[in-house]
Amino acid sequence: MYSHATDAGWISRTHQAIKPFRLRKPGTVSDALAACADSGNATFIAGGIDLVRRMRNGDSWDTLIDISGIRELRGITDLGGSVRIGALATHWDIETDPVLAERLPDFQAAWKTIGNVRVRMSGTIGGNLMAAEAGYDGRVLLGAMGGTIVFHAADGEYSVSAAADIIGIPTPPLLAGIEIPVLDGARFAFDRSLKPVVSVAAQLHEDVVRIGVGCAFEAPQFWSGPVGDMAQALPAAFPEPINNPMGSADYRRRMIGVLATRQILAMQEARS
Amino acid sequence: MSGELAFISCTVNGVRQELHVRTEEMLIDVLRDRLALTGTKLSCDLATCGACSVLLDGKPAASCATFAWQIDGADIRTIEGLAAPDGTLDPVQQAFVDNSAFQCGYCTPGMIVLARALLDHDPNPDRVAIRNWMGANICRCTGYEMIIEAVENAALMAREKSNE
Repeated sequence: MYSHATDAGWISRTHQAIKPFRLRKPGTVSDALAACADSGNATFIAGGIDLVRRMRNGDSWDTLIDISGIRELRGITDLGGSVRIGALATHWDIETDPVLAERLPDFQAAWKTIGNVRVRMSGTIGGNLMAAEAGYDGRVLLGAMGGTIVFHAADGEYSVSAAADIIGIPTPPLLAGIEIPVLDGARFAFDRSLKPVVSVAAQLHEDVVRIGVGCAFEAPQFWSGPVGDMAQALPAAFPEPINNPMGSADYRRRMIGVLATRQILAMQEARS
Repeated sequence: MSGELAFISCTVNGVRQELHVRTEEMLIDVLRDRLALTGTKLSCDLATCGACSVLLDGKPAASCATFAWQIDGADIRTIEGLAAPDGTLDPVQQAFVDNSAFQCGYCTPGMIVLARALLDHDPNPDRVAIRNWMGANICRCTGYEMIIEAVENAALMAREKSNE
C-alpha cells in the first residue's frame, strides 16, 4: 500500500501519493489496442472508480489509456435472442435503459442495487468486471444470467462465459461488452442483504437454476443444475468459503443455501 | 518517471477555465488550490464519504477520485455555484438553513450538491427515494433526519415556486 505518515502519527492513504503517468486518448478500438501494445506498462481507464482506488493504494502504470471516448464501446442493443451491453455503459445507463426494462427487467432491477448514486453514474460495467474484486457484484449477476463477456484483441474478438475464471485472461484485455441471453419465462433475483459476507444471485428458467455467489470466496462461484438437486448439490459445489471475523466459513456456507432457496421459492411462487 | 501536462478547457460555475494540469492531479486539488473554490471538502479521500461531491455535467461525482483531465469539456458546479448571482440561496441551501440540517457542517457542501442533483433528476422524490439517493453521502456527526427533511422541503419549495 502506498501511504504516508501524517503529523498525527497515523498512516494514511492519499490521492497525492498517485504516481505520475502518461495519458493516451484513442478514439477507436484499434487505436486503443495499438496504444496498449506500444506503451509497455499500461492499462485502460473509463469511469476510473476502481482504478483510482487501486492507484491510491499503490498500484501504478506508466501509461493510462482513456477509452471513455470510444463510441464503439457504448450502447445497449437488443440482438433478438440476447442483449448486448457495451463495456462503457455506466451502472446508471443499465438502470435506466428502455431495452433492458423491456427485455431483462429482473436483471435491471438487480443491477440497480449496485453501489451508490455517485458510483452508478460514473462507474462502468467494464470497470466493475475488470476490477475482479471479490466483493463486486457485477460478475455474480452476469454469471447467474448465463452472460458472455466479449473482448477485443489484436487478432479479433473472443468470448468467455461470465461464469468462467476471467482472472486468467491475459492483461490488459480490452472489454468490448457483455451479451446476456433472453430466455422466455426466466426469472431472476439477487439478494445482497448480507453483504459483505455473502451475496447470491439466482436465475430460474423452467426447471433449471443458475446460482452465482459473491463475497464468500476469493472470486465469484457458480452452480447450475435442476432445481430439485440444488439443496443437496450446493454445499458440495463450492470450495471452502472465506473464514474471517465478518463471517465464518460455516456461516457463509449455510447462508448461501438459505439465500438461494429463499429466492428460488419466491420465484416459483410468483410463477404459479 | 515524470508525468505529463494535459490541457483542459471546461466551465466551472459558469466561468470558462483553461488550464494545464498534471495527469495525476485530482479535480479537488484544482478546485481548492488553483481556483480557490474551497467549499468542496476533502474528507475520506476514498470516494466514499461524499464530502467532495461536485456536479459533473449535472451528475454527482467524487472530486477526490476524478482526475482533472477527465473534466475536459465538462460543466462543473460546486457549492459556490448554486446560489444566484444576487446571493439568493438555492432552494436546497435555503432548506438546509431552515431545517438546521447540519452540525459541524463539514459534510454539508457535498450533501447539498448531492441533493441538488436529485431534485434536478426527480423534482418530486418520495422519502424512500431521498434516503436511497442521499445514502451516497456519509455524515459523521448527526442530522440525518433533518437532512432528509431539508431535501423534502427543498422539493416542496421548488414545486410551490413553479406553481406561482
